[in-house]
Amino acid sequence: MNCMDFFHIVDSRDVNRLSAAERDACEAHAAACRHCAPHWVAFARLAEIPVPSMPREVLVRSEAIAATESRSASKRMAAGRVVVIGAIVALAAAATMVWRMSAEPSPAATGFVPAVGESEPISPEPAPVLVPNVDGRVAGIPRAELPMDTVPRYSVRVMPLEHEVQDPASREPVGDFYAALVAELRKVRGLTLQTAPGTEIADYVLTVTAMETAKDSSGQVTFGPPDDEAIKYVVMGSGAIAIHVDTPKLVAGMLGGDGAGRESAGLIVSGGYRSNDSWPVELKVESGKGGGVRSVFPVSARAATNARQCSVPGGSSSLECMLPEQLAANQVEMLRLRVFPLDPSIPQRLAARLRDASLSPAERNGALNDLIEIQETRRGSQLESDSIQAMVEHVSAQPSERRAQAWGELGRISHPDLVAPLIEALRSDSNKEARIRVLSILEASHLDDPVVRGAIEEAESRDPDEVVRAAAHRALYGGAEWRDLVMANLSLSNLSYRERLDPLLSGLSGGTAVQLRDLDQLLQDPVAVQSLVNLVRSHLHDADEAETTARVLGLLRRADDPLVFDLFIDVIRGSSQPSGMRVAASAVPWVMDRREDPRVRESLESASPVLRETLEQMQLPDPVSRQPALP
Amino acid sequence: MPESGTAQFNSLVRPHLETLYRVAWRLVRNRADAQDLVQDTCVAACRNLKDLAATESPLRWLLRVQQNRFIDGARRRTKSPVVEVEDGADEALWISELPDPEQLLQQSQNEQLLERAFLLLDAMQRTLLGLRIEGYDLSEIEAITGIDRRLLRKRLYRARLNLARRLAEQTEDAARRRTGSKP
Repeated sequence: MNCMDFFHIVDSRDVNRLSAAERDACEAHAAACRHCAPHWVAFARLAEIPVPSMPREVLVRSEAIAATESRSASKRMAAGRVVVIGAIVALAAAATMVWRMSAEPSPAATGFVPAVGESEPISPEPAPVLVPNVDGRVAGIPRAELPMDTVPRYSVRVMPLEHEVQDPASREPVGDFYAALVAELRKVRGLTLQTAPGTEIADYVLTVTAMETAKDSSGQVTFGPPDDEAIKYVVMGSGAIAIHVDTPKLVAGMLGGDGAGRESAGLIVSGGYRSNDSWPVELKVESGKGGGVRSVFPVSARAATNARQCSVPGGSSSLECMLPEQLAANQVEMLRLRVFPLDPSIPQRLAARLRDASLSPAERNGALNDLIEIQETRRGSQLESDSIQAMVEHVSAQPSERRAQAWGELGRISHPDLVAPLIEALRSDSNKEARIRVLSILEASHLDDPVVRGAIEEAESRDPDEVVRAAAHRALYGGAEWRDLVMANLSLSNLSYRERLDPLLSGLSGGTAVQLRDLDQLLQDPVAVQSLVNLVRSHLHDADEAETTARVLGLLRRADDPLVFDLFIDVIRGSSQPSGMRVAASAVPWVMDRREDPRVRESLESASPVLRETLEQMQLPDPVSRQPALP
Repeated sequence: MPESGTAQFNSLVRPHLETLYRVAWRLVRNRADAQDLVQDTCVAACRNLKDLAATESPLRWLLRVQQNRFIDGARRRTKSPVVEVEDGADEALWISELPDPEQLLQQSQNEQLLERAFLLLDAMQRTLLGLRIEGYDLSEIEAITGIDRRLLRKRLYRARLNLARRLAEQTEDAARRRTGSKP
């Protein structure tokens, strides 16, 4: 019996009706397989606990309920008849009055009831959304691409612009941005816009805040007061805009509420964009009664691509400048992609872009990333099979050298329709790196699927490459054999530098928790550490191998060993040599962790100025200019 | 008419009471709560006899209602002011409702630990394991819970693993209590 047979029984058979032979086989397999053992405990031992027979009280109570409910139903029917008769009389009277008055039809009679706060329902046949196609990621949605009943409906309240900018030249583009944002929102199908004061609770509340700005002597715009939760746009040379999005409905749904609004979970939800390097978008969930933060949801880590900063006169930004209208269009597109209920036309359009051979690779990759983000940021299987199929086709068609990376990107999402293509890639992708990457995705996300385990078992026994077989073996049974293979290759001096390191580097390409655990176990072996250090040291100044050396140093950082310490000191000292900086860059995090160590500081004195500058930018005091510490 | 309602109940619900009780007991592991759960299901059934009569499989319909009642009940118990939201967040539901002492005395210690571990699982995991152990296969559980089969297989996998993990914790705790050592 193998794992697949075992899981077939555990998933499909009635444990109480297994034959003695089947039960024995399962017991034997579970005893030998650490993966399957816990499942047997849950499956068999739990089933062995007897269920007490049903007390007679259950029957008595249920019969009483049936009798009571039957009587209640009869009473409700009788009462209902009275109400219906009354209603007919009232309706007849009302109809008579209406006929006599012959007045203008009321708004209700026309089928249009204005919402409180002068809501603006979107027209059933909206004009095409002509969104400027900035950086190839945004495109117009054709008219009537989908019937209106498939488009999600929701309301957005746009709060009045909070304009703190005093500089007249800056105020104008901020105002333009705000006006353009409102105009763009009006075009979104299914979206009811609320702009006037009112009491109706919108699904989303959008506030645009233009923060106070100032220019320094060089013309560089600075933003104040510092706010970690605000995105800072520069629009047409100056001015800064922060956007905050409140999304009660979305997060109520995430919390398991009914998604009907605030009352479902009693929440006030606020969100913002943070302005650190990765520009993450977060939704912060707070208790409606001031109970503090409940949770924070990452919405996106790619907002920066939609929110480019413009070059400012005298400023140093090299990013493309964007008109306020373009910025607004992109923001609305971003909100539709990441925040608002998903319009099914969006993934369809993105899938079409993925398949459009006339587009550039960058444009198609942008569509792929957007689809990945839709799946990543929205719970459940939002994407249709066709979108997944388009993504798989795109990734499979990538050049061999990029395929592993492309699979890795696709591996960020989990979707049932991805399992089969991943298994197929594991079986037939000609690129070893791609197969290893796919293996790590399957291992990390789908190892609980018996079909996936079967495929990994197949790779373990049949893959033509030894490293893939070892990786599969490690996924199934743990890291001992992988470590043996790493050690064996390190000792083979007839192989090239890269070949000797291949099992190590390939086996860690996924960066999964299991892989890192195996690496840590490897680095606890002094023999392994010594072999690695000796090998790396012999190629420390080999410019052709700088990339490989840097990768190994990145792994060795995790080892707490004097040999590794000495190696890094040599790396720092050698950073001023040709190609040394590439290798030394991988030592920066190691240096940051040991910046107070005298030996590290001393080695930095002979380090490359570029390395010192890098460390300085990372707030490590320059050891040369710094006064020596007192004893 | 009362007679027809009672008659429908007798034909559609009564034959499945034993099964409902068995599954309910699997979920809550004590007699009183199992009875309450079955009772709630009966109330829902009596109020929707028309729907129940129209369904192909009354038992499946009843089990689905019972599952929803169980999960809703568990969810109501977790409406605390602060909840960290993550996958499978509704953990530790009904954990105060351990088997009554009389029952516990009759069970072996291993069974007690296993039951305690089971009661620490979230409501959905308990539902899936309970149905599976009662012999329902994936297609039947899919029909009862409405969870896609591929997802179901994964959830069952996680539920079993979780149970094993909880059991290991319970066993360690018990060993510590016996030896008087601190965690």
